[in-house]
Amino acid sequence: MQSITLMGWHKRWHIPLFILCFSLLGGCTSVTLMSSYDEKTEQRVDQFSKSMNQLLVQLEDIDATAPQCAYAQHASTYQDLKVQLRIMHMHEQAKANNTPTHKQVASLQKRLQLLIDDHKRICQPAVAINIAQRQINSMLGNILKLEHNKRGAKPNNLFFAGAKP
Amino acid sequence: MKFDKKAMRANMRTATRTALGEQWSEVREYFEAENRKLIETLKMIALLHTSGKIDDLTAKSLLEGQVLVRESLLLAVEGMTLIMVETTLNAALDSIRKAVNTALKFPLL
Repeated sequence: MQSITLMGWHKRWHIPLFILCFSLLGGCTSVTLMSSYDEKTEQRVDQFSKSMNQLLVQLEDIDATAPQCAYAQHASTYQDLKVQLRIMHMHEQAKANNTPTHKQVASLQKRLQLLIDDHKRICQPAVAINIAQRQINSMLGNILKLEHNKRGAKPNNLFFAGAKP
Repeated sequence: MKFDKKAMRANMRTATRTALGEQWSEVREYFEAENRKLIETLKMIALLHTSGKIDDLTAKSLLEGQVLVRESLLLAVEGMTLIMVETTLNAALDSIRKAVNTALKFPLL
């Protein structure tokens, strides 16, 4: 299994210190480390979530041996989903100070590709589709969680928004 | 296959705590909930594979999917940390601005 490599932000507390010093020298302007909340991101996530879940619920209900289950029957839906994610990725990449959200969408693209590759190989049983669906929904939830925090940044509540199971 | 969830949860807690350092106390509740979900999913993948309901490639793909979920979670935490640092820095800058302007009795900053 591959390991996850992030930028190691937790070990780089000197970075905010430098930013503070530069800001002070630069006339006490405010600091921006993260892009601001974008309603369009939320709309794109909602749209993708709806299309994705529609497909997965449909696939869950089809018997894995039935001809309607074949990849070819759903290829256009997968293409539409890929396009939606490409557009989302393009928009998130274009924003300044938005690396975490942009990378989250890139991860989601990889997850969708795994699903497509699996479906091309064989019709997946309902249990496997169910796990894939939960994984994709978790990833979408993580994108929304971060986006919501961009909107209402209250330091003490950041990590616990929606953390309760 | 025996799945020791308790030991797995403890190992994951230690690994996460070590990786996150000082941040751990702030994200503990969040990660503990996510770790429980992760263990449940891994257990399910293992059981489905062992019982022959999914093949090797599907099991591998679902595991890779789980890594991507984790990556997405860590990126959310990274972003939320940046927002927290930004909010704290701006509050500090604002207090400096107010203090300087008050001391000088005119809005220099």
